[in-house]
Amino acid sequence: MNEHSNDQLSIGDLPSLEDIDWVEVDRNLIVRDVIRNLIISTGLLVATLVGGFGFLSAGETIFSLIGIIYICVGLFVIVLLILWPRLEFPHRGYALRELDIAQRRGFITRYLATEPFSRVQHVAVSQGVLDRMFSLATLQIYTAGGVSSIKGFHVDNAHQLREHILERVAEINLAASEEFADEATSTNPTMDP
Amino acid sequence: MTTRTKNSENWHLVSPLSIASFIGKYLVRFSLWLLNQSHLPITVLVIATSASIYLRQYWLWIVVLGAILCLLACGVLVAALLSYFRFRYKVTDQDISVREGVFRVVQTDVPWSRVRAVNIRRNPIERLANLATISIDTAGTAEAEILIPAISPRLAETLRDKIHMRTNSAPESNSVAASTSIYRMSANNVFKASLCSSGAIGIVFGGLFVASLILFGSVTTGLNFDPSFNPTTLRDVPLEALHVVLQGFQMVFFAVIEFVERITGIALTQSWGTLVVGSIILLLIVTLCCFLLTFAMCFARNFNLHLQRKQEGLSVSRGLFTTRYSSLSARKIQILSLRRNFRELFLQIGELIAWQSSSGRDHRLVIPSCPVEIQDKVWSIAFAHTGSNMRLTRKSIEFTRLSPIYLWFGEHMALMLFILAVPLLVLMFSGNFLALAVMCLLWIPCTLTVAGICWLKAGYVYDGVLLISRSGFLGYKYMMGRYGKVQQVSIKQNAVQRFTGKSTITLHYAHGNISIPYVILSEARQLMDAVLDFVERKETHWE
Repeated sequence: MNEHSNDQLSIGDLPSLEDIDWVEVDRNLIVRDVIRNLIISTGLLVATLVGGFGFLSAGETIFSLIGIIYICVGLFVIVLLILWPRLEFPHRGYALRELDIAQRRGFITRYLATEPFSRVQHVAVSQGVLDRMFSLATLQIYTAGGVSSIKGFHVDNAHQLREHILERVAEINLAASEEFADEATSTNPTMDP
Repeated sequence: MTTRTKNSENWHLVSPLSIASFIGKYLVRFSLWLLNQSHLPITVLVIATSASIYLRQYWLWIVVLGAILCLLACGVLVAALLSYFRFRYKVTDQDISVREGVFRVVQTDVPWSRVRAVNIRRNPIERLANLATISIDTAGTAEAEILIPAISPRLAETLRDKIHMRTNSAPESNSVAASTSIYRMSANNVFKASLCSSGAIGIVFGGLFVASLILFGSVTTGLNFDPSFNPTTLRDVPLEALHVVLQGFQMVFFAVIEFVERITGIALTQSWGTLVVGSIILLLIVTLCCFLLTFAMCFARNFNLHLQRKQEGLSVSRGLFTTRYSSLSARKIQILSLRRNFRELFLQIGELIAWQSSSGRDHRLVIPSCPVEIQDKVWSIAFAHTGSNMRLTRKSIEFTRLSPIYLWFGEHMALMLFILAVPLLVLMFSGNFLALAVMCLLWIPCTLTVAGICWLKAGYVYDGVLLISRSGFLGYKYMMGRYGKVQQVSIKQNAVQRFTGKSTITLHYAHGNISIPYVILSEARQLMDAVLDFVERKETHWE
């Protein structure tokens, strides 16, 4: 066991996330998200119209100007909400690798995260009402540092992936615990003065 | 391996002295419940207050308050007694179990392999009777998983050594012998720690606030209070309530002033001038009292702090009334953080905190007012086994600066927005371009200075096993994490960062994260790959 080794890492040799083939998630996710956003924007629409026409009916020029701006902003937000899932979709993806699972998402703010299997505590699959209508599922990977969820799997895929990850986790943990037990029995850690 | 036996003889009862700690536990729990369900007591109190004011029967209010307190006390006492009689614990080779609960009996079994930390603390009653409370933590929960009050300290020590033997994988023979003293906190340092604690300023300002409230109340009621005011309709009740409260403040104020008068022999209430002097004296007294309170709290917490090196780990014992012993193995340290605010910089000390994966409050190692050479020593113990060459001593570490774009779009971006927002507001309300110019002249240098200092102090450095990040405005905050303990890595790019090819990399640990903003994207990716490589191939086991 190399207790005090600190080998120079040459960055070029490491397996890199740069040349990864991102896997697209289920395209139904767009429809599902659009429907969800439509539901959200109904309330927004009512608020926009009521507020906007409230201002317009006040009669004074300054108030009607505010009312028009109000309605424009509201409608813009609603249109954006409806377009957003389509805009975001090409930037969504995951990559299952030998020792970890990576995901990326985000249209304006790009996000990339990796969970090593050696740190996974448990894996869950969750499905909301809308998810069930399109047979979609969210994969939730729990580590001691928190939970990271990947949206937009087909249910069957999600369950397969969950099984696979759990298998890999078990394999890796078994190997690790054997190694750990070996360390514990064979060597005494030396102390640095 | 022994087989698990299920006979009831192994279940032990704790000493009756544990009732004291049960009372403490339920007092805290019930008070918290009352605070969480605050609508309940507040509703009762508001109804009682309104009724007593409306009926002009002020004793009603005291009766209601007394009844609430009585109920609380009775409930705590009964719950403590009952739970003492129902509490049982069992220790076997494989696990430790506790059975507790009055109506709903809960049995908690924790296998030794899942235990992250065992800590001992002794409150004054337990110290008189030579007993101890032991708390056992796993990674799962925020609070201690198992808490056994009032057991013999020898048993507690055995349990702790048992868990240390497992995790340190050290031979049994020298597990107890090898402990060397590193640092004993002197009274001088306790005083420094209380000066530097973040509570000190807060409490002083809190005291000033309360004092000024009293002053305000006394002045307003002194001018406006009408003793002949008689509430006749329900609408007058809030007004009357306000008057009663202000009158209360006034009473407190004049009682204190009278007290000061009697002691000093100066007639303060004769004129407004002397009254103002009196108020200033009062404020000073309140501030001093608040500071003394902070100092007393800090002293009680850190009295006789003794830091020891034990085998490969560290152990700390401290406390005046309740003594706490906590220890952790160096291999379990997730993040070591060093905080030096401007007072601590001035006094050449720092607050060192070692986090481990269990999240109980007692289970992080905190050393307030730690001198520089002790910081270095703790650092070298904590990271000796990683083989890193980095040392905490400031001169030997070259921190890499963040990108200057951080100056413009960093965390102080909200502050930067003020540059635009405040002058615009000024212009809107005054319609005066001179005011705009003055505001710009004031705001732009201020924000630029703040941002510049933040940028100068922010930095990061890493090698093959460790990452250190530095940040701060007035002081410094260092966060040091090992790659081997990382749970998850993420890279985030917002619009500005994407435009300039920068990114924010975050290393998530079991307890807290370290994040570096505005690193070049390719560098962040390389760091991410290096960390992942370390986690997946070298240190697959963590705890």
